Amino acid sequence: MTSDADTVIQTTGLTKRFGGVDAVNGIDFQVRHGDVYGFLGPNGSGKTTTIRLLLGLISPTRGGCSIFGEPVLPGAAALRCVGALVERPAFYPYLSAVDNLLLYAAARGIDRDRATRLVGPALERVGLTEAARRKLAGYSTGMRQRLGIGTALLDGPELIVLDEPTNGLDPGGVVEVRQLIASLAREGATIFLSSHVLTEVEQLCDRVAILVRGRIVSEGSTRDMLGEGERLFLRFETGDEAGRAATLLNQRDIAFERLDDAPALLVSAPASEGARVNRLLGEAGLYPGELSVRRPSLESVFLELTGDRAVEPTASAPDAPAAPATVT
Amino acid sequence: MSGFLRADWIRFRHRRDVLVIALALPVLAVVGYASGLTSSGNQFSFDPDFSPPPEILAAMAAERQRFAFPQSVLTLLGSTGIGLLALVYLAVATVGDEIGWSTIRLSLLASSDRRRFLASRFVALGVVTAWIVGSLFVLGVVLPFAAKALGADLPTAPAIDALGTVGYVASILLVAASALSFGILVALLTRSGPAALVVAVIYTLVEAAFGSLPIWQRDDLLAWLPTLLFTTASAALLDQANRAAAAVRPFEELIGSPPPEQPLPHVLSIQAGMLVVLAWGALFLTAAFLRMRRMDIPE
Repeated sequence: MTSDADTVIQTTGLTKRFGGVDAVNGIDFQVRHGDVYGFLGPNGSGKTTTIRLLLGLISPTRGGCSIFGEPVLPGAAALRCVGALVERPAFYPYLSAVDNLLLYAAARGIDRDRATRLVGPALERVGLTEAARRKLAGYSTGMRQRLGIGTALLDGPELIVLDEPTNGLDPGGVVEVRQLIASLAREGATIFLSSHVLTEVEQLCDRVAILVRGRIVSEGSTRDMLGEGERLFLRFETGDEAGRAATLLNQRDIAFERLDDAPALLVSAPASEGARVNRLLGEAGLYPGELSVRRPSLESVFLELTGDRAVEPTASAPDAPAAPATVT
Repeated sequence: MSGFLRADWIRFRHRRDVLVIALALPVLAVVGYASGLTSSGNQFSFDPDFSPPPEILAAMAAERQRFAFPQSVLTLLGSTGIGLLALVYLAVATVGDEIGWSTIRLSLLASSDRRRFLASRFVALGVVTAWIVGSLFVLGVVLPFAAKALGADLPTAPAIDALGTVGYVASILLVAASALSFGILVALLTRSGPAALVVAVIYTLVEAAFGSLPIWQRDDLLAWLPTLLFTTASAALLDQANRAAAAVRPFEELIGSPPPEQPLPHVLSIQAGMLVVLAWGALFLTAAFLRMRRMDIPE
């Protein structure tokens, strides 16, 4: 794996062993400038351990990682360019939100005047203006989570690391935080988002790694990952037409699946092949009443990779209702 | 490090235990002074016709002189014993709570420089120490005059040894710094404030038991070994330095009788005591920095 000026995070054989267990086992990945990188995995797969390694909170057993080209060690200057929310955010219970943020800013080396200017907007951004002077001991889990996000974003860091940012939030809060992440991405921030909420990663991330038992089992662009499972859905007027289409596809060695409950076929081909398949059928005088793309959700990809039963797309119950794309 | 110090200022000025200790110790010292002064002339109750023996009269005079300026300064500074315990508590609590509450993560996410984090905490606790010692010193100067103004009958006290007083203050600060290092190290090792307090108490008891083992009395050279232990050396240093600063004449000299023939006790000189305590403090602090540098923060 090569590193260049565009690389923000790079790991090489990153391994962390606790006792006799490899929590993270030789993982390699690269996050480039401007990426919204999803780090997906079931609970206990090693996501938070990886994040702690990236932030220098724990040391790797083997391998290493770098941020902005600088090896991650305690005191590394590059870590100053990172804002992070790690697992459950921890704050001083006897301090108010304002004092917690001022304390964080002071430890970050931000001068008092600038810190004072930053705190108000940061709290407003996460909807905590009214509770700004209340002590943290009285905050709910969701409020702490919001403050954790506000802390991570306080001084507009170049790299934002968010570990399960929507944990503990009510549905409205989840939507707000996702909108916030999306707006940060539009502003050009590099975001490393760890989550086990598949729709969150699918909606927000342009690249994704799937971690299972400390190993990355799949890594790439979200589009490619979902594209690998794309299928074309062809519905005909009659079963006879569907049968002729099946014969034709067989002759051309194009894989497909015939559906039992409808005169329809699911062709194993990506959306880009839609026009070619349609032309082929047209040349044989077959004109499907519907040709659409059925995309697997990240959930089905994830379940397949993690060894659980994949949710197969079907004509009657497509698992990607948000993404049907008609190409005819 | 100024950023971390500013952060510690925010932490400390809102922590109730820090405020209570910083304010309560001087108040306790005032109460102790007033109580000691009031009782110093009343501990012997005599028949009006009875003439007390000279050693009793000398002891009463010497006791009352402790509350008159300038001996009062040393008397007040001598009450730092409980202050040292409070400092160990503060070191243990302020570092242990960081780990127990996981707030150490907040600090290290703000800046990952662990050495500065620890150095700043040490300095911040040092400032609290300086405040306590400084306030006791000032009270030692002010209280005798306040007592006189309120009508107390204070004798003229013998002068104190200026160099000895400097040495005494230095000894207090040295012992305090070593005690802080000890508290910080124990908190880092146990990763918990309450657990660290228990370990600190157990350590002190074990050291006392270890130092009183009969094996040390078998040989004159071996008998010096317990004096090198941390709490033993610290207590002996403070006692020796206090005596040197007070320039107190031996009691036997006060009552005019020759000192009895006794074997020399095994007590380190002030200079040797300072070296021993300094060595312990350096050892504790180095171990704390090494521990901090290498420890994982999974909290």
